[in-house]
Amino acid sequence: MNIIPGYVELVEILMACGFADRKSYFDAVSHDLGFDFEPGQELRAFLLKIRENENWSIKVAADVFSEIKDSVIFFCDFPERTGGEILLEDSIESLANDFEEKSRCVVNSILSSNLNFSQEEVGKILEGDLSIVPEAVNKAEDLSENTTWFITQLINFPRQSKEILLFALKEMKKYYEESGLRKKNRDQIAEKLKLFGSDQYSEIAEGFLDFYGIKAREDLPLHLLFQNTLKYSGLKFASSCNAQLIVFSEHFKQIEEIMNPLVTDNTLRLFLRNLSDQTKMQILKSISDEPKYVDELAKLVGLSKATVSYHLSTLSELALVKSRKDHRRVYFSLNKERLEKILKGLETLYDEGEN
Amino acid sequence: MEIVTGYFEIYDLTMAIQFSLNTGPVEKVLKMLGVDYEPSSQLLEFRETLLKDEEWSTRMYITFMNELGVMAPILFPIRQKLQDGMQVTIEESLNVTEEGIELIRDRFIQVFADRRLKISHDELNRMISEEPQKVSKAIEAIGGVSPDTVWFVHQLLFFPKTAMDFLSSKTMRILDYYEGSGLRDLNTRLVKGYIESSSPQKIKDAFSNYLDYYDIVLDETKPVYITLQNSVPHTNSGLMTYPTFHLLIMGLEEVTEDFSGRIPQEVRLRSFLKVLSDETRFKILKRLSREPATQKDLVEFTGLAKSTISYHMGLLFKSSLIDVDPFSSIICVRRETVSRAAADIRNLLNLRDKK
Repeated sequence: MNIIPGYVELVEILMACGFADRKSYFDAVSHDLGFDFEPGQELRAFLLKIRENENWSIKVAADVFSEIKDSVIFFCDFPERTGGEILLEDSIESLANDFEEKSRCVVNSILSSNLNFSQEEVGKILEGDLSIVPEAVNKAEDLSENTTWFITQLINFPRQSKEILLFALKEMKKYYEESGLRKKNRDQIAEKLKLFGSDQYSEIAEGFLDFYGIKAREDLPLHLLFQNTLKYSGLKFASSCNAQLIVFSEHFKQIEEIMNPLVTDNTLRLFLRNLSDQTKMQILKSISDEPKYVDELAKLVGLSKATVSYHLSTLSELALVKSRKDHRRVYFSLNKERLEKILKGLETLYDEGEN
Repeated sequence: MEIVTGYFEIYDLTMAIQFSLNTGPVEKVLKMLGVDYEPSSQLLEFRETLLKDEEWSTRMYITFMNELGVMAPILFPIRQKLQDGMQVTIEESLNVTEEGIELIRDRFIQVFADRRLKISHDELNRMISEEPQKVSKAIEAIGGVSPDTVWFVHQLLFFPKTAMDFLSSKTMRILDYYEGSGLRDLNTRLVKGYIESSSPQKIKDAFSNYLDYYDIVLDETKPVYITLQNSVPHTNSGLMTYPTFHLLIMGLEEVTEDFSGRIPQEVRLRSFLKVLSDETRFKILKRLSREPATQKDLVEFTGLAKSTISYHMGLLFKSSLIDVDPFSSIICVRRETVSRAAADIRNLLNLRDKK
């Protein structure tokens, strides 16, 4: 597999918007994973402009970027060579020229990743059979009204969606610059880009796919897109059309520790801390006999789907649960081998002093 | 297993002294364990008078009563035939004959020889008469206690009569404070009332729930003495083990509320995991697994305040993660507690032990 580390500036805006209405979510995840996150003054200034904005297009776009960024990301072009970068201006221009084709890939990703349709269903929908879409969109409780509306527009009226999106991006680009976030990120990225040539990044990417059991296509390049806005935000794999990518950040250092074949003390402690949480323990217990999907779990533990999803995302990052897609649902199950390994670590934690 | 329950008022007083000297840590431990606790006005009044008394002998007395907390049963032995429901006042505990002094000294020697010097009782007796210098050195070397305590231990071994006179007269003085604050009246009323109106089986049931909660396995060949206290009604001394018996000073409201029913495995596992997964405690346990240490060592190791360490120790001791030697304040890790927790997690999550 050809792994290409690079930088796409637009990704930073998607990440920044992700923080706009879900600060508490990120705070909770970073707490569970054992580190502190403090958004800098630049990110705060950017978010303030977004939150205080009265413009309807910007509001829609911010929600969409926040909630389905792993699909919206396919509006971007990706660098073809290691250490390559694509500036915000280039992304916007390319989107203006090539909207129809890109939009098809975004819709494809929304249908399979966000709405959990099977490949056959996605095929049918893209050929024009929209009959099953409205029901699925309505059922997606973790998406806001703005986002479900945008998804419907994108499928039915791609041309009108283009206007909204381009307008919002041009505005956001202004805020990105005025807040100082662009300069801050660029300064930090300039150094990084030189290092991207080393094999270190390919190794991390391969280790990551392997550890979390993600199957990437060998025949396609894999883009590693670095982002600096949310330093702790997890590694994410996404694929659509003929593109596949991982968004990564400084956070890979934490992930590397979690992926360490020897369970480190810190990983063990995070495991214990997460298990001491009532909801997480309940979730793990309920999937210990058979896999369950988010709806079922939400009913079992008596919490909203969004809350359960948040707990599942932390548990997934610690590789305590595995997921599998089946009939438009994602089933979560215990990663028993991993748990066994961690429990062995717990049992031998205090042995070293024995001799 | 033989279990005898009753009220030895002197332990209610030692609990009040301990609270007075460690108010912050005691309150923090209770909060961490999820207990709502408001000290009684009588206890606060007792504390105020006690801390106001600046006489050197009072300072000495409360220092070693606090530091030798787990030694108190040796200093105030039980001379009657023990039976359920017995009540012994402080005055009765202090009424020590010549014979009594010898008994106390003898028990003290036994524990000191066994725990601290790892030699036989007879051997230590021989050393006291033939090589007093060596014994003095061993006392000086007791880790983690103040010079006041060292002084008292010295007196007890070489001048038992003086030591006991000192102990009695100072206890009488503190007893005045205990009475004057109204705490004695409050405690006696509530504890006597409880003992006279309820079956001793209720205390035994609470004890069994306590053992279950903290996952403690007892050496069943020794009898267990459970004595109630009401100074800090939601707390207990932690189970103390001596050469010939176990002792637990249990809070009255632990019997009537906290441990009145069996606590579900999940709840106790969760609270155990909270205690274990804290960063500082995790570090401390790792340190202790290499080699037992005193509280003073841990203060140096972590760079934290003595009261903070004492809070962490309180939690770890209560959760049965550490043993505190009654003589030398040396603390070591109880590995079996960790193994049992791992087994509980396996059980909860349906994981088979592949060992």
